[in-house]
Amino acid sequence: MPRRIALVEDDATIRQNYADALARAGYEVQAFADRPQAMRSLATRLPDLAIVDIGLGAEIDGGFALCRDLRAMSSTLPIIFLSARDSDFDIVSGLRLGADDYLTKDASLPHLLARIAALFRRVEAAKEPARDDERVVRGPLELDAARMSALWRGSPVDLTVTEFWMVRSLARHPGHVKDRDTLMRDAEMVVDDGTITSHVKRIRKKFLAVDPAFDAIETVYGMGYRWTEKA
Amino acid sequence: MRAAFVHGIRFRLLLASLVLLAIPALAVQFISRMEAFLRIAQEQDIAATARAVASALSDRPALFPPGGAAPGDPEDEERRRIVGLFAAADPVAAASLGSAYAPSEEIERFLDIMGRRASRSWVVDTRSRVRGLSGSLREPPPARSAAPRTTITSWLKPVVSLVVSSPEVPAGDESTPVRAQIDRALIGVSSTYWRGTRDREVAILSAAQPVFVGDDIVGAVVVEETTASILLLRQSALENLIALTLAVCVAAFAILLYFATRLATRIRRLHAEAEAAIDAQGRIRGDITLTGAKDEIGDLERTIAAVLGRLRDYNTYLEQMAGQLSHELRTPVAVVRSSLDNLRSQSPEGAARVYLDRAGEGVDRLSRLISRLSEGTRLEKMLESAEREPFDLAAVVRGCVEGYRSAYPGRAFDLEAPTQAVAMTGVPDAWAQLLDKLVENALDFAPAGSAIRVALSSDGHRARLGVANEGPPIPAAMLPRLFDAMVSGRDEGQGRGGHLGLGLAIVRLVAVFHGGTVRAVNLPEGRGVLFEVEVPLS
Repeated sequence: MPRRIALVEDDATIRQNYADALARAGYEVQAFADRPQAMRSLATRLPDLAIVDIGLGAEIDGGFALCRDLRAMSSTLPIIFLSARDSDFDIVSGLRLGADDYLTKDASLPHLLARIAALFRRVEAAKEPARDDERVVRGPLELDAARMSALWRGSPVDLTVTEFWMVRSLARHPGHVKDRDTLMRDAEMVVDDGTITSHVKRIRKKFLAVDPAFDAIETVYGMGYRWTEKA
Repeated sequence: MRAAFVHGIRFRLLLASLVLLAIPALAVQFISRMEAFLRIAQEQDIAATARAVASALSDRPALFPPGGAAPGDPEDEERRRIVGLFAAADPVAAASLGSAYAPSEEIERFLDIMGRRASRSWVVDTRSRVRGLSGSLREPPPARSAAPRTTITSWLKPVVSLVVSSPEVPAGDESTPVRAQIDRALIGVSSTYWRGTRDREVAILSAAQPVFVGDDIVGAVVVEETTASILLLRQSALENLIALTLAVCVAAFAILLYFATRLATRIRRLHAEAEAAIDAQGRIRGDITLTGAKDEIGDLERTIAAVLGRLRDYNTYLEQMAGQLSHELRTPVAVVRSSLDNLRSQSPEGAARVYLDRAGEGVDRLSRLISRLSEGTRLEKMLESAEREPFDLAAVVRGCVEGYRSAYPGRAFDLEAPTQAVAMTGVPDAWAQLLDKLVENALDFAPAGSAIRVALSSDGHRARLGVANEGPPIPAAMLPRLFDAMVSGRDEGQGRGGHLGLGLAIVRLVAVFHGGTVRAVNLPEGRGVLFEVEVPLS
């Protein structure tokens, strides 16, 4: 049974082009032009993945509202923002609302399809039976890939799917600098440099909320990030 | 400083206020008019007195007998004694009288009754004998006015004498009346006459009137008076007026000076603020503080503030236009790109494929351009919301250069950086971006095989980060403008294309955000170009 993707995009030409490409890639596509239309249909049956534009017709932040509503319905539904906006503010807002990825509209279709595939693979990985390397323990950090849960000094840290895989990639090899490409590969996602930075900032904030002294993720400017273990 | 004062508002207002000096001048003129008027009044007065004495003596032939008075009259003796005393004081007067003094008791009684205070009356008969003399010109000095002479009035005395000149009168003898005037009276002509005295200030006014018996002239009456009282009046009026008008002038000067100083201060403040509001690059940096004054300067303040505001809005609009433009362009580019991708996935073969790829290349270039356009705006927004944190600039530079070495394996990078930390507070990500842009720029210029030199130095207060390449020198005229958006130092068609010179604008943005400056210099002897950023630490 093909996976169902909901595409919410107000520009008819782009919507049709993306819908065609997704259909050709073997997905079942439900395309919507605005938020009320999308909500009416999606409320009854959730898709397997949602691609949402931020500006939807008259609602300049309609996509954010839609993302919030979808996230309220399901905490695991993969959501990708696809927008003409490329400011850090929009990217961070989108990721903060629980989106898993953020793409600008100049991304090519193969690029988009690669990200969709990556997201689906990650969801699959979460569903697979336990393996040996599922649990990673680094000092105060405990990661459980089966339950997608992260603990810092015993307190749960609420990470999204993308964030979880990034932390896991860093923590598995402490002291090694992971450049952005490696991180993207390990987290099974295809994101812009800017998005990686935003993700890392959010991950740090989440750990700092649990432990104000958290400084395990170190930025190596020009190269990437690394997990440091102290004491 | 001096020149500034001479051309300033204060100086001009003070010059203009010199008009105030006309007030004392007018006062002086008024007083001399008044004095002339008083003199005329005195003349008429004294003439009237002379007439009155003359008519009282008229038609009394007994008083003017053809013969002389009886000698040996004891009263005459007494009078001679007095004249002698008078003569002792004034030999000239004694000589002028001599034996011509033949007084008549009755006439002198008349004169005593009718004479005026501080005046001297003579009665002379046709034989030029003095028949009566009464009164004296040497009046006792009148009691000074209640207010004692203050230092100010005595101080003003030279000023007064400077501006007021006494009327010109011929010099004369104060002891006897003028012979000619008596002679004219004896032939029936009444007259008044002014003559000077040895005291330069005082003049004597005399009026002569014939005395008739029937139609015959039997003698003449001469009444004399000094102008001392007028003089005194004039003097005190002048002193008062001048003191008063000078005080008014000084007060007016002071008020004008205060007012002008206040005006000048406000205008200078406005001037300084207006000048500081726009920096060398034409960016609006400062604001005009509105004082809320309701006058013209307040209006000027408001107008300048409004103009600056409008200019700032327009600048913001221009700066945001790049971002807006890229946002608006992205959607049509997405339409073209997704259509091309769809077309390509249906895998047309042959010639069509080539054109499809070329169209794809074009769209790629277009979207690179678009993201460059919005890069500055994006960074600006990032800086606005970013939190400044303490970090080690040397570590950032070392890390970035490591990154470039792996990202551009074909190029050589020389790094000179202090081994100890260069601690500063700021946004490290922005610094990485700044260095990215400087290195990208250097890579575009540097000839193949040459090294890019990155140097960081610090003296504890300021840090300098320089990136040099061995590329061709930049025309001197371009150097100051290189860091402006949309200015590119490279030739058309060179490099990867799509370079709008936005990279260096980003360098400046980050440097300015951290309180620093940027500059580009051609190295001597054509050894390349150095782009340098200097920022204060902490």
